[in-house]
Amino acid sequence: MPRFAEAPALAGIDAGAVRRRLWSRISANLWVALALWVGSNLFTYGIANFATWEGAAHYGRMKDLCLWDCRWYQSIVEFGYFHSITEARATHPEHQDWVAVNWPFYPLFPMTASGLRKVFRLSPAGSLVLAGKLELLLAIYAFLLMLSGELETTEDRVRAGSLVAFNPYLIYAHAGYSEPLYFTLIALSFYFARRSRWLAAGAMGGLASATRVTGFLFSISYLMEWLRAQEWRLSWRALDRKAVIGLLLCPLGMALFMLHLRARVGDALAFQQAEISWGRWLGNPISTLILCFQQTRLHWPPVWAVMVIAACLVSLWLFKLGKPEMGTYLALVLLLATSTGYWSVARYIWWQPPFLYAIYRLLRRNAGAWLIYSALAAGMAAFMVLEWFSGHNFVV
Amino acid sequence: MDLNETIESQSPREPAGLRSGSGLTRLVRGYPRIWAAVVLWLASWAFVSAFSNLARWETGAQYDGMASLCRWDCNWFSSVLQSGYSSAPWPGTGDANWLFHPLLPLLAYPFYHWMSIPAAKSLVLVSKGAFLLSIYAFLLMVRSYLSDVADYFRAGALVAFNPYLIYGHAGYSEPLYFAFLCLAFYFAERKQWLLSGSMGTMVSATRMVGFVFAIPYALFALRGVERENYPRTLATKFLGLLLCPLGTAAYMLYLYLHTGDALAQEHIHLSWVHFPPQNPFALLLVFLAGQHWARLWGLMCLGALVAAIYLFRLRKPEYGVYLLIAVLLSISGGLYGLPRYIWWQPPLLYAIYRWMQRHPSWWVPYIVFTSGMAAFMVVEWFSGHGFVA
Repeated sequence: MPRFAEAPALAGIDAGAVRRRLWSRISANLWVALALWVGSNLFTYGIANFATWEGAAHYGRMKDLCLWDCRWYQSIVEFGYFHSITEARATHPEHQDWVAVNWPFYPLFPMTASGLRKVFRLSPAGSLVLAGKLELLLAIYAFLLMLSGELETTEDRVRAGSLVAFNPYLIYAHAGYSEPLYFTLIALSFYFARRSRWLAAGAMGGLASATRVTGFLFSISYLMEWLRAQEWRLSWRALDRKAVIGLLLCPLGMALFMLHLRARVGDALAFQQAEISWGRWLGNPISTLILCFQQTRLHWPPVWAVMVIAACLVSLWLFKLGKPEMGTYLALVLLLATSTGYWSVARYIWWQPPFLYAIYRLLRRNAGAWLIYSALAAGMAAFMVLEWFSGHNFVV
Repeated sequence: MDLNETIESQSPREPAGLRSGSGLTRLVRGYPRIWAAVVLWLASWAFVSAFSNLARWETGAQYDGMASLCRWDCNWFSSVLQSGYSSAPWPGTGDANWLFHPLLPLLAYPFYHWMSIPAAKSLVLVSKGAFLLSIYAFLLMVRSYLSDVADYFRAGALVAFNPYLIYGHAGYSEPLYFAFLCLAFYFAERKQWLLSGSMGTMVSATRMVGFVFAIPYALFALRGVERENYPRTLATKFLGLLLCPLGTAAYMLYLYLHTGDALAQEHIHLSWVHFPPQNPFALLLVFLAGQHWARLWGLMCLGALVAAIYLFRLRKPEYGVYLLIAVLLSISGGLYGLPRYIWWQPPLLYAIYRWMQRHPSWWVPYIVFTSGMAAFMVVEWFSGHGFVA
C-alpha cells in the first residue's frame, strides 16, 4: 500500500526537480550570456576610447561606430531601398557619397533597427548600432542553446559564450552590421532542427534568409536534419506536414525580399545585379583563392585565403564529428562567399555558428589551447576595433 | 619493485595523467613546467610578431624584425651597452643614462661584443630569453597551487599575456626583474637563504626598486627565528639579507667612482621628472582626478594596492609588503612608466592567480581583456606616442 501511495508524490517531486533543473539551466545560460555581453561591450568601448585618446579614432558616442556597411543599412532605415542611384541622389542631394544602390543589404536587420528607432527615438545610426549590440546578446544565448547538450558547468558556458562575445571580428557586432542577427537565427535554426521542432527551425531559417544572402542555404541543412530524423529514409506516405512547412519556410525571407525588389525596382534579382555593380559577381572560388595568394602586396588576401582553407578543413571535420548538416552549411557558405571575391570573407567565416562550434569542440579539452586562442582572438578583436576608424577598407 | 620504479615513485609530485605516452611525448610531458613555459613563451612571441606585422601593414609601423622592437628605454640600455655609462650629463640635453641599471646591458654584453650582434637585437634577445625565464620562475613561485597541466598554462598565461607584454619583447629590463624576483621569493619560501639573497642581488642590479626585496626577505627570515638555535643558520640568513641590496650598492659604488656621485641615478631621475618624490597618496588622487591614461593608471594603482591588502589576507605578508612598497614608490615618482611598474610585479600576478583560482570562470574573460590591451600596446609601440614608454 505505501508504495502505491508514494508513487504520485514521487512523480510530482521528479517533475518539480526537472522543472527546476531546466530553469536553472536557462537562467545559467542567461546570466552567462549577459555577463559576456557586458564584457564584450566594455572591451569595444575601452579599445575605441584608447584609440580616440591616441588620435587614431573619433569615438564619442555609440553611433560613431556606424561606419562602412552600417551606413548602407542607415540609408535603408531612413529612406528604404532606392529605386535607382540617380533617383536616390536627386531626391537626397546631401548624399552624393552614395555611389551604388543599397539592394545587396537584406531587410531584416534594418527592420529591427527601425523598430528600436521608433520605440527609443534614436538616430538611424544609433538604432542600428543598438540593434546589433542587442542581437549580440541573443547570439551568445543562442550559441549556448545550440551547444546546450555539451555544456555542464558555468566554466563551460563562459568558454563557449566567449567564442561569440570575443570573436576576433567582434567589431561587427558593435557597429550596426547584420552579423549578430544572422548568427542568432542560424544558431537557433540548428538548435530547433536538432530537436525536430520543424516549424520553429523553418521560421528561424526563413528569418535568416531575410538577413543575409547565405541564409537560404540553411534549407539544405534542414533537409539533412529531417532525413536524419527519419533515419535517412524518406517515406512519402508518412510525410510530416510540419516538417514540409518548415522546409518551405526556410527560404521564405529571401523570397519575400525578392518580391519586394520586383515591386520596387522591377527586378527580383536586383540584389545580385547590385553586387555586380559593387564589383562582386559569381566566379570560380578556386580562382579567388589563387588570386588571394598572388596578392601578396595587399597583405590581407593571403591571410583570408588561409582562413578559407582552414574553414574548409573545419567543415570536413564537422562531418567526422557526426555533424554533416553543419559541415555542409559551412562548406556551402564558404563556396558562395569565395565565389564572389575575397572582400569580407573573414566575417563570413567568423560569424558562422558551425565554425565556432568546431572551435569549441577542438579546444574544449585543452585549457592551455583555450587561453592561447582567447589571447590571439582578443588581440585581433582589439586590432580590428582600432582599425575600424582608420579608413582602411580591409575592415569592411 | 626495481630501482627505476623506486625512483619513479619518489620523484617530485607531477600532475596526474602525465605519465602515459612514450618517446618525445613522455619527455615533454615529464617536465610540464618547462613545456608550458616554452609553449606560452612561443605563443607570446608569435602574438607580438603578428601584431607588429599588422601594425606595419596598416599603420606604417617601422617593423622589420625583432630588433625594430628596441625603442624608448631600450635605446638608453643600448647606449649603456655600446658606450658604457656617461661620466657627466650630455651637453645640451643634460640627459645621462645612469637611470638604467646595469644587469640587462651586462647580459647583452656577450651578444654585442663577442658575437657582433647589433646592440638593439642583443637587448631584445636577452629580454625575450628573460621572458621565458619569467614564465618558468612564476610557475615555480606558485607551484603549491598547480595540480595539473591546465593550471600550469593558466598561471603561465598571466605572464605570457600580460597586458604590458610588449616590455617582455622590446629590450626592457622588466622580464629580467620579474624572473629574478620570482626566484628570490621562491628560494626564500624554501629557506634557501643564500640563493634567495643572490637573486635579490640580481633584482637590485636590474631595477631601482629591486633593493626593496630586502624587506620581504627579512620577514621570511624572521619567521620562527625565536626557535632557531643554530648560529650557522642565523649567519646564513644574515648573509642572504646582506646580499639583497648588493646589486644596488655595487652600482652606486660604480657610479661614485665613475661620476663622483653615488646617487647619480636618483639625481638624473629628478631631472627627468622635474620634481622630487612626492606623497604617493596625494599623487594617486591627482591621477584619479585626471583624464584618460592618468585616470586609468590611477585605477590600476588602486587595484594593485587592493591586491597588496588581499595578499595579507592570503597570509602572504611578504608579497603584500613588497607590492605595497613597490607600488607606492612607483606612484611617488610620477606617471612615467607607471603601468609597467605595476604589471611586472610577481606579487600582483600571484594575487590575481589566487583570486582566479577561486573564480575559474573568469580566466577566459581576463585573458581576453589583457590580450586586447597587449595588442593595443604592440600596435601603439610604433606610434611615437610617449604613453607607451
